Amino acid sequence: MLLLGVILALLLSASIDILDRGRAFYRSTTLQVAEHISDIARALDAVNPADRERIVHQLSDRRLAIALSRNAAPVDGMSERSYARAFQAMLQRNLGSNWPVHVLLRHVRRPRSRPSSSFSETPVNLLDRYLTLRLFYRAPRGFAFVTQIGLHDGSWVTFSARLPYEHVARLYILLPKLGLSLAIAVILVLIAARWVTRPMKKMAQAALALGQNLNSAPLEESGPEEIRATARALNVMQLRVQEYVRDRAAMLAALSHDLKTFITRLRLRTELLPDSAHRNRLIKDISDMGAMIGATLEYLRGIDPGQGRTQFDATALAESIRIDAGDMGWDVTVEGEAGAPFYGNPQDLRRCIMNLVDNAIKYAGRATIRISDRPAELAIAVCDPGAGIPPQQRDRVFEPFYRSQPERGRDREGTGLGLNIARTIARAHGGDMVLQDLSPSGFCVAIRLPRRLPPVTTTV
Amino acid sequence: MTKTAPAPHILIVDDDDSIRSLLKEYLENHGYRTTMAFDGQSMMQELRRGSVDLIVLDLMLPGEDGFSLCRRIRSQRDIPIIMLTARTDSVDRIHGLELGADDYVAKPFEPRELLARIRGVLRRTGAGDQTSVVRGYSFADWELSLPERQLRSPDGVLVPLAASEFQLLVIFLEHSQSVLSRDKLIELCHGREAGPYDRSIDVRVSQLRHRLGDSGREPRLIKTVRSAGYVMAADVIRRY
Repeated sequence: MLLLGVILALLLSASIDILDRGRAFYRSTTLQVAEHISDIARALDAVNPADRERIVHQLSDRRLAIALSRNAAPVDGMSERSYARAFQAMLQRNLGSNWPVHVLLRHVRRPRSRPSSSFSETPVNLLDRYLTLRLFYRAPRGFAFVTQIGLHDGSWVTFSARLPYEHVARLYILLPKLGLSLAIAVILVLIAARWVTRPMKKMAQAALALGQNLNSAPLEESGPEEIRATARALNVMQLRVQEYVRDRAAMLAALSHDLKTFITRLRLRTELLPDSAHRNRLIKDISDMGAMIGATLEYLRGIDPGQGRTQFDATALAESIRIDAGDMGWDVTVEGEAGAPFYGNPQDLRRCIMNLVDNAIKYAGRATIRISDRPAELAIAVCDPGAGIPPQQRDRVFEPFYRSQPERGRDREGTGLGLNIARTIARAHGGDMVLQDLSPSGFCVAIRLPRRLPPVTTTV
Repeated sequence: MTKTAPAPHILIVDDDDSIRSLLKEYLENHGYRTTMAFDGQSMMQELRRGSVDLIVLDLMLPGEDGFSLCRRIRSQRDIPIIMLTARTDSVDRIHGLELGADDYVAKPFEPRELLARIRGVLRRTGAGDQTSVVRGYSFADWELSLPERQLRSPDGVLVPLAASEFQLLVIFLEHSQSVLSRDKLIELCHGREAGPYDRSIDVRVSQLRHRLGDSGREPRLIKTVRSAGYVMAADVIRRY
């Protein structure tokens, strides 16, 4: 993009340059011609009229025809063209205002056989001339200035000067020059771009790393000023976020400690009450409240990615969930298996899958854990034969504390955090969660976990 | 708690007045003798005064914290300790157990669970030998860590276990080389943590074999003894 811009700018400036040179050349040539004509007119004026014929004969050449006449013989042509007027102004300036000067433009035959210089008609030359005449000279082609100047003795001299159409563009010189400057510009642009983009790239990686691990090393503040400033801003931001997280963690720890103390007290108190239906309800409520507070605090604390990672047997994890669920009287089956150990946090993933199983049991009464292992990714889907989550609710189910309507109605306990926590865990492992309908019926919540290599092989 | 002749003496160390006195009442209702302390200093005083069979120690205490106190008690005496904490980090749990705590209960806890843990620890430590508590087992290149409840295969891969699998494996490892009948296994399972058991013990054993990479036909670790039961045939090394 940048490169394209630079090349465009360079070409533009080159063409402006060529155009300018063309104009300047036209101007200087016509000035020369005007001077030449004025000089001849002055010289003719000064010599004896008898000698004039001889001089005129000698000075005439193919570019400039000179003729003497008694009167200002009317010559047909176009006097109103701005070129003619400009030329006349030049002559008048040279000669002074007391010389009568007429300038006309007249159509002449182009000297076909004779190129103005000694070039051969190569394609470059043809293009050259075409550009010269068409684009840069805007003077009309195949015309001559017919100039009549009145001498002081009343006689007139007529000059017919072909318009100059010298090669101006000189493409054969210009092209390599243009190429060279283009090449230099491209190299410089590439170097500059690298200088700018390398720290940018590094910064993007660092920002990504920051997302994964808040305590990653601060960015190196080097490179161009803007990059340094951005790096500095990012580092300050990291410090702020770290501070915020620390504060929040401390606040949560205090809150969590106090809440847990209260629940412990309540729980002990109920244990000392005489046995009754109310006591049992109370115990149940306190235990539900404890679970909910626990889940909320856990949700607020978030998942620390990278902590507690180890190589583990994902099939055994699914099986252990199946057995634990079975001991609670839940109908859970496992399909498929993981071919190789997976590197991750087995405790977090157990919670993740357990939350999904819990949902499936709640809504459909049973769950199937499907493991599909691919070289790059381990996918674990928890499927149930139920209707799943209605499409219009799918965006909302990840909102914390959101519970779909039937659940609220049915007075099922649950914090509304299960799916959210599960997704957070999947994301902490670099993966994500997808909801999919099964045909003809059924619903799956799948977590996809990219396989990663352990940083260092853990030994026990 | 009718079987213990002299009621075990439990020292409750917690800085929360309510929890301390509620625990006292609860434990006394279940036949224990109790003494209370609200910080490290008063705990040390109580320890000097009389024989204590078990300490229930809160982690967050004013002044010296539970970790440090645990280490101090361990360096002096061999009284079993159950740590009590409102923090749930597994790091804390492992740290506490490494410092010599015998068990760990997170607040808020089910009072009955604490009671079960107290019984368990007293049974383990009071069984006679005053050696320190077992923290893990090695068998046939497998490693089982009790504090972390983690099983690692010979090539270091963690093998997650269901609660019942873990329990059964620990029973086999505790009774290695001795034949356990089905009835005995069921009794041992139920004796520790109550739970609904809808599967036969044979299914559980075969699951566990599978987890340990053993085939049912020719098991190397847990062998079937015809019409007698099962035996953990591997050499088991205890880790302290």
